[in-house]
Amino acid sequence: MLCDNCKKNQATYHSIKKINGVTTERHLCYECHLKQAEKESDFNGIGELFSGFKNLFGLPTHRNVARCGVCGTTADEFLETGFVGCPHCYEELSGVIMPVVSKVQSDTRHTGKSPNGKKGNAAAEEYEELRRQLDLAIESERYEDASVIRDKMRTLRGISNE
Amino acid sequence: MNKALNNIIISSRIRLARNIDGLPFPEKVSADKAALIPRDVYAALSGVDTYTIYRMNEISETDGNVLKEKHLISEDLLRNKDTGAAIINESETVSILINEEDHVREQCILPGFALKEAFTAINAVDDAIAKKVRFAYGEKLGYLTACPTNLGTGMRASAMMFLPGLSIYNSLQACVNAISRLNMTIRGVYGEGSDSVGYIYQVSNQKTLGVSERQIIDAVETSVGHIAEAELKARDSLKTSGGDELKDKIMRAYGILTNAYKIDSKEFMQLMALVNLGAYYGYIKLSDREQFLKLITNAQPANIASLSNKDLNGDERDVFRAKYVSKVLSTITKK
Ligand SMILES: [Zn+2]
Ligand SMILES: [Zn+2]
Repeated sequence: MLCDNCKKNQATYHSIKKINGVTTERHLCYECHLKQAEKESDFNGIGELFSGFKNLFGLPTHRNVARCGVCGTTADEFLETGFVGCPHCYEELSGVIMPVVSKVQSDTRHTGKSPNGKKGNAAAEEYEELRRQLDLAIESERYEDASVIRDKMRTLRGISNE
Repeated sequence: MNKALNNIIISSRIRLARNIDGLPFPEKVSADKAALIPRDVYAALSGVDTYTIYRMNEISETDGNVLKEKHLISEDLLRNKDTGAAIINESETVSILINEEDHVREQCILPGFALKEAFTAINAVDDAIAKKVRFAYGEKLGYLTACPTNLGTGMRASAMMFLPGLSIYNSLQACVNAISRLNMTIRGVYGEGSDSVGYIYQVSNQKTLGVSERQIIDAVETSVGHIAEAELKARDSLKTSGGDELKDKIMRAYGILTNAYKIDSKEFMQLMALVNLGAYYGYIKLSDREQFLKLITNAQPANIASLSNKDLNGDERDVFRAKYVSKVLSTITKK
């Protein structure tokens, strides 16, 4: 199924809302859902993290039927408990999980140890990724983000200089 | 500062969260598959050190609580009677919790301010296990964990701190606010929230993704340093303003701990905190800090029951505790 919004990417986020008896379906890809979640989180605040808060704020409750194809955990289950069911959930339910990850960790990219002990060129890779993000941030005039990214790049340079 | 830090930082702990590749996380995995994990991890560690395996379905309630009071296992693990297990080394510095929130949680606790040393030790354990067991890992998100709050490094670095000065001055909240900006969190170790019995608190990192293990350790060390500095100032002004009244309170606490016939664990913790502060001020001479800290653990309910080697009811336990505490304190302290 393709994303309702961009009609380019595969939809990984699915929600069904019922308002006054009218059912609205929404199927979005990860990027489009992230944008949407960002827009909504501006007034939801941390309430987006766990659905318990949604009721507290009197926001419309919608059922999220997305399901991990490997372990069967649903997006709703994750939003209620804060736990995923298996390692694959992170990809299968990325549209729902990744906004939470970037909120609780304020990061979406690992930079530490890996199981084989080799760090490889993780730092160089991350640096490239940051440079890409920086260009994007400047392009879209998100100057505060850009300065945060620049700080990260500085830290990274400091570490690789040692 | 170093000697002072020894009075403030009780112990340092590093914990790494890991999961086995190809299996659902503990909440979703089938019991028969989960039951195989302890054996695999135990086998991976044979030859590295001498380890003992404790299965939660075999351990007695007292023995389980003894391990919990020593911070070697958690309440959550203790409750997983089906598949929970702990693999603990002989010196009880390393414990590996199996089938808790994640399949494998490796932790090392060392006395004093020793986060780097604890990391070196647990990192070696992690490498040894990773040689035999494939962990769930993704290039982007690092070690994959049951809760997104542990993603990436899966690492929690923490220091257990004795903070009477900041607690008495009600300055802990300010400290909490200051370090929450560094992505740190602080919680009471005994009892609830910020009103910890015995003024003992744990400071740890919150962020685990997008930071390296070394950055986490640096950040926790920095935070602990700031808190310790504030604590020392608070203790100085406490001594000035408290004067003879404070000294009297401390010496009375010492008197009770060395002479009482019967004492419960809460009163014990409160009085021990005062004696600990008295040792810092030099009112009480302490010859063996390690034994002193061990006494805090040994006087907890399950440990006291285990040390008595008898089935004691609550009152008998308090009598035994008083006798035990008085004996240990008399050998390691002097007025
Ligand atoms: Zn899209
Ligand atoms: Zn899954």
